[in-house]
Amino acid sequence: MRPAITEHDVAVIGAGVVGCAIARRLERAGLDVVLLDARGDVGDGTSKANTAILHTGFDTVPGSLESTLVTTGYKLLAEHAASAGIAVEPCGALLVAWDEEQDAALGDIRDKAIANGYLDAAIIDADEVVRREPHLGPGSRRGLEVPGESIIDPWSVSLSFAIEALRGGATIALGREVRGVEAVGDVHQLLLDDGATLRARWTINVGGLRSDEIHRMFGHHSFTVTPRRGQLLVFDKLARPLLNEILLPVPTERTKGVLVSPTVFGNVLLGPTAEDLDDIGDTASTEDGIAALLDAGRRVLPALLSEEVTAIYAGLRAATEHRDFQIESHPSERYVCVGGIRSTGLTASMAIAEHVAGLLAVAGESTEHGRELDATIVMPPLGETQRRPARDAALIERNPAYGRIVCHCEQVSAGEVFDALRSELPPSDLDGLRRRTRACNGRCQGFYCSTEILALADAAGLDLDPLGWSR
Amino acid sequence: MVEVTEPTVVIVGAGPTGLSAAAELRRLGVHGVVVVERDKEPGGIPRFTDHQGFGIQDLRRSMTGPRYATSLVRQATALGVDVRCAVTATKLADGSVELAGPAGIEVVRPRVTILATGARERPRSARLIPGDRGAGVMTTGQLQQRAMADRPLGRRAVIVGAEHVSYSAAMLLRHQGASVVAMVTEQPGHQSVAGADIVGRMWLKAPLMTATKVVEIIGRRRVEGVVLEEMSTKRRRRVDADTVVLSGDWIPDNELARRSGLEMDPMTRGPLVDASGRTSTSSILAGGNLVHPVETAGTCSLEGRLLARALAAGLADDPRSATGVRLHVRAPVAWAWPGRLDPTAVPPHVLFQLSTTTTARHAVMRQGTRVLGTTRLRHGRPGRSLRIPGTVAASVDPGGEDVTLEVES
Repeated sequence: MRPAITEHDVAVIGAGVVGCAIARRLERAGLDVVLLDARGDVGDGTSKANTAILHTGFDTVPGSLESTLVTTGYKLLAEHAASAGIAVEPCGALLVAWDEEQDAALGDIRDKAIANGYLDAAIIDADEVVRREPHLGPGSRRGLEVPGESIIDPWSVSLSFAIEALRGGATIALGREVRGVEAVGDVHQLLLDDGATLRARWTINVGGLRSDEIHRMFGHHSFTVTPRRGQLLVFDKLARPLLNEILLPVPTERTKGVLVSPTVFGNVLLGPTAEDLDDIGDTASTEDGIAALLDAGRRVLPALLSEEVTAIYAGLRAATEHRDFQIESHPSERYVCVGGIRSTGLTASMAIAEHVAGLLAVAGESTEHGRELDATIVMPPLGETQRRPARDAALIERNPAYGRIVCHCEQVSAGEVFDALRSELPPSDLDGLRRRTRACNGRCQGFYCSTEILALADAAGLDLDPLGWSR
Repeated sequence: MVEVTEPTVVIVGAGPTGLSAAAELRRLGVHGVVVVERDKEPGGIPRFTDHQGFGIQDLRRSMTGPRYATSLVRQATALGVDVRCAVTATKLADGSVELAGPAGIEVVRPRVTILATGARERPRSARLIPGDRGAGVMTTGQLQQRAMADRPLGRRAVIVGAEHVSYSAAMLLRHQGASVVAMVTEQPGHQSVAGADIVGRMWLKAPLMTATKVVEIIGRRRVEGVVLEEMSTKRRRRVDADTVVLSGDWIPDNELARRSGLEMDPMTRGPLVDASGRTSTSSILAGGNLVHPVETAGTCSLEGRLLARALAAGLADDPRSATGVRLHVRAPVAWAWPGRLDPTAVPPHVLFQLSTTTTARHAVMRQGTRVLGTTRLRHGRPGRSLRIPGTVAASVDPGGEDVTLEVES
């Protein structure tokens, strides 16, 4: 029997943070949207392994599309996060120079910030740098402060977009891989890995690491993706008092450097490396990568190295041979490609979605904001500076499950785990649950809680055990 | 709703140290003894260690870990200790303890708080083991909990470590029908009881690979193997496995201690204490594997009693902070307990462990050039208990310089 053919106005291929933002935006315009991803969850590829920074765009290439979209996206995402209760800490950033070359580059970086419309960057002297960050290693020189840089919970952003799209009526099809495309009249037929066919008047390619492959299915060859691996180390929360803001490297001709940043979950992040690979699945960490990060961390914040590393991960950025975002509209084919989205994609996501809506409007599609949601979405408070359920006496009084802490390292209650398991977009694996609740994400990496949390999932009818359920 | 009640002593952690301290306090007539445990069951780590050998030191008979845990809990509750589970001590400041649990958030103001939060095995991230992130990498604790919950354990395991706990993991895996394809240690030999290697080889069929380390884990969705490096030759080879058990390598659960500003011992990574468990803050005591990672449950239990006796004797007076002379260690001694020596609080023994294998045969304690005591090393293996008779503490000059502990041939 041939599987049913489903029809939609728009198919968005790729449920990373940008794909989710586009699906949400087009759904709000009253279009019938299907959001597809080969992986089992939204935001489960490049979007889950970034540096979690809400960028001002001060160091983008002036005049580039990226510069415009990051600058606009910064404001849009800050507003969205505030209304959706997504953790953001406006901690600011400090670029610290460690040698003469870096010191000399600060002026140019400030000028670039001004050219990008960011006027608050200022050079501060060496003494002030140490006063602000007393734990810096010896040898720091002048710095450039960028007070607008913020840190954000990256996982809740993708989830919030996807849930809003769902509530608007979008279809989210996860674990479905696009294998081929054929044009039938004025619609595209997407052939999926399970043999099903999906028809859409418009296709938006937000395929991330696979965006060039999908681009070729539509007959276009304007870019090639080279996965650029970034390994990151996450340090224990006890390291958090070692810094007051994001410590950025000063990029030079030779090296881009690594950053040390607080996270909204109260940890400290060190990374990323930048390694060009040819395998879009290689998210392994390496001896050399870890050693290089520790060396860099030792110089910037020596005390960091005596704290425990609570996670090591690697993300693959979808780098292309072009410096800028690769956003192309092909109105006659009703096809839009959103490729080459660099690490600024999280910040730019909502602006990219507006931009894509604009491209569809130019092509004659009505994409003005039509529907508004009945109620604004409220994401669980996962940020360390937010009121977490286990700290909320009134909430615990209403429902004691919020006072029953199951993940001790991250102070996650059974109530929050229940909420995630029963949500409209439940996790498909333990990592998905981690991103929704922080459970098992702490220093013990599940020693205390994983068994109990898996039992809660069993009770909710979800098998999240990565080792299988039954013997 | 925030309630304020006033127990006399709050003990954080219902493992062997906490439960035994609580029971002893009650025996000595102290009222208002509360033990808070963040897990939903009391008993601590022995709850998951389903083999014989527990209780010999303190309860005078051998039993399994779970039975031992139950005995300690029964003993404490029968004596009138208030054991509260699923309650987390979230903050410790100015003599108050903030407790969070299903019943709400409560602030109590006990005379004294005893931290007995124990230790945990370091997970993969802390050990900086590179490679893929496939499922199947776990600590012994996780392995034990999975076994108790009837969850699958894998069929071919590599165990990292060759301590007591590593053999415990090997026994469990064998019992569940899995094979142990290698036990890997960076040390030149195992760190368990004499003959463990023979038992491991003959009965557990678990070949011991010494002076070897895991340099990579392979397998994107599920562990498929590990790359082992022979440390002397740097030669590497791949071993197929679907499970990697990270055993031993303990670190104190020291977050509460650090966040309450206690002076820490950089070697144990727990709070700096004297033999009575006194810390740098007069209202806070600390004991058990939080201050010596790790010793057996029996050692912890006896230490809990000792803390209780010192505390009960001094409760009439104002509690004081630890003021004894610092005990420092020199490599290859990893750490020593107690980190402060006070002639008025003589421990039954000074506990210490090594960080690497040594051929040295003696341990020597000196204050300046004066030798306080010398003892023969029972073994030269890291991660295993060593001790010096506590009487050495009695000869410490309280106004003198710091004491050092080192090993010598």
